[in-house]
Amino acid sequence: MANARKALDEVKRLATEKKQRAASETTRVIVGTATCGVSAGARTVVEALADEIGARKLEGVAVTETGCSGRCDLEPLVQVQRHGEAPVLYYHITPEKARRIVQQHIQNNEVIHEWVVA
Amino acid sequence: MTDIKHVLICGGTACTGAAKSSILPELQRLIDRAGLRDRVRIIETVYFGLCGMCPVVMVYPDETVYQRVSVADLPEIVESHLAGDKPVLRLVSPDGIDRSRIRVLGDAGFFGKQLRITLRNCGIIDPESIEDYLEVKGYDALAHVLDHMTPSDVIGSVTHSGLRGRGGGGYPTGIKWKLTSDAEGDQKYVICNADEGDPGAFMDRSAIEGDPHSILEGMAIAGYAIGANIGYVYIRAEYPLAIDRLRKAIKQAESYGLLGENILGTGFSFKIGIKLGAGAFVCGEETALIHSIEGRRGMPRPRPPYPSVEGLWGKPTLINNVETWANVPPIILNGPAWFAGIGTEKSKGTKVFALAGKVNNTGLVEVPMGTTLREIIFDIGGGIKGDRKFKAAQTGGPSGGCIPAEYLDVPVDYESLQQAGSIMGSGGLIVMDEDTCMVDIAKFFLQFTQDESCGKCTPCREGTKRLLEILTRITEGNGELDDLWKLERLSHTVQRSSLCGLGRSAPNPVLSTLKQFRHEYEAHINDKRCPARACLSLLRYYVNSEKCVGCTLCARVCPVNCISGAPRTAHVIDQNRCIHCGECMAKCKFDAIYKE
Repeated sequence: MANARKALDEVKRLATEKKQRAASETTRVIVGTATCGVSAGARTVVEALADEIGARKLEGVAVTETGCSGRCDLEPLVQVQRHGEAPVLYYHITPEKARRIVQQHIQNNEVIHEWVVA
Repeated sequence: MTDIKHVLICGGTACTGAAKSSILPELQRLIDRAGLRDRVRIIETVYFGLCGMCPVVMVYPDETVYQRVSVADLPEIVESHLAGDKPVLRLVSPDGIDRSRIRVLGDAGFFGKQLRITLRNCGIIDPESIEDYLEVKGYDALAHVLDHMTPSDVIGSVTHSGLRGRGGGGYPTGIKWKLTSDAEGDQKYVICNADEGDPGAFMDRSAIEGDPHSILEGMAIAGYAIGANIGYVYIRAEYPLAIDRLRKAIKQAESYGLLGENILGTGFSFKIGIKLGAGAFVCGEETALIHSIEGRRGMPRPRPPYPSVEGLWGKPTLINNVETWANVPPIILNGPAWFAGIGTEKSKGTKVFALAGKVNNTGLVEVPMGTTLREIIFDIGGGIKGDRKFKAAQTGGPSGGCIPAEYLDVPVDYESLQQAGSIMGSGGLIVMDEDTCMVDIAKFFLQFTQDESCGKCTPCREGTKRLLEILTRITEGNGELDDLWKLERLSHTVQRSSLCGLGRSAPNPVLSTLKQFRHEYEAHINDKRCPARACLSLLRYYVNSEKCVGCTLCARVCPVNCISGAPRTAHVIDQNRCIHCGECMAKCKFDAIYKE
């Protein structure tokens, strides 16, 4: 008994190890890229975020993707999770706005309140 | 920055009374008194799925979750935790809270009344990372089943949970599993029906795009329960992103030994393949779907024998919808009693709806069964666009009907929606306002079913075509009163004499609008008038001679040159030549053109 659980624990250990490699990560930027997000322009937002983060040579900032959170009308949605802080969700993000989020929120730690989902 | 603490406090509507009114002001007062104003920031947020533990307070950066907080607990939290960095352990939630759910911030109105089981990970985890899924109890249910449950235990759990088919039929899932398990056969199959075809519906697409592994895990659990080692996901080729994410998910699960041969070293094997559908609506019907996987023309066949006895390649086959599958792992993990405790007497758990049409917050919502349409449309959906008046909600797509305003407070479940003249369906929910013409809506759906009828049964193939002809005639102002009787009689014939659900339900949009909005049909026929001003052929555009200043703009934009008048005098539209395009009204700067 309980063999599958043991094997799964091992799988989870490997999976965690794989994720740990990015332990230097301090900020995570999550973009909704389900069909609703993509059709609203999420792809260009992902590109702009990665580009701006690269241009500013910001360390420890990872851009990842997620599915539909339900607010299809507010896509593209971008969530900024700074380590140890409450996450912030931005809506109707364009590539230009994405660049400003990198500069203002991620680099200078100023939340851009007018774009936050209220 | 770590010396600033964030206190997240639940602002969801379910517990607003408790959290917002008493806790929030008191907490602010205590923080001010302790002189922590600059070091602690209070944020109102939403904890979906935690409403049983409300009021919930969470402290960042250490992610401490306090549940069932009372005002009396606050001084201790402020003093010990916020000022002294020592969490109040006696109030800390025991393990078992899925922290990932607490991540998304904001939007109390939208998320407050929702309960997310199917969509528990959507918008939270990275769907392309199995590591993310593993972190949120991914594949725990599968391991639990393999270690501690016999196949009949699993079937018992699903049965006792009260889960019913989420594709629309509402057939008890446990019974389906038992029938397939009991059927004799050397080979059995599990199928995920992801052939989502209702216009305006996107529940399954989003569930797969957001959390593909939960569906795969559900299927593997069923494979163990019924004795199948092969599963198929039948998904329409129009969903390329969902297909891509499913493919990646299957590959990742195989690489970790969670799918494929000898899963987790237990000897149980289960492989999942993907079959692409070409987009025929009828292939959502289970026997047509099976034909399509077999490489034959997608046409339904008579049942019985049901697929549970004679399905794919003649073998016992278990078919469930995407949403049904996604519910399986939580039922195993939390127990059937937990699931059966959510919802109404006969409809357990939650239902995902794709909220579309004339509603402010279009998107995907998941609510406990028994939530009213009013709550879904007005509280979660934020009401009607442009503050127009609500006219009807269409559920069940081309197989469903329109529910008028007097049924807004009916609790949504399989039975009550049927009583209101519609069906639960797969979860499409189209909101209509006073500008929507109900005859036009019936025509829209008949156009769809007429197109999608596979042609096997004459009443469906010919009947939908004739129904559409009559509806078209009415919307063009050529209808006669006799047509209403014809619509009803023909509808009943098509319902009674078609083989599969497509034909049997195709007349529903006609019958339900005829029943609830007969006066609109009569206005089209008797007065040659469309009350919603939506049917183009019945519209007349006029110039208000008092407002018209004779700027000549309308005459210049009219594509058929039917507007005449000298400069600086009121213009006139020639009704015989007008094609009702509305261009003049859109361009007039003086609001001088109206339609009726």
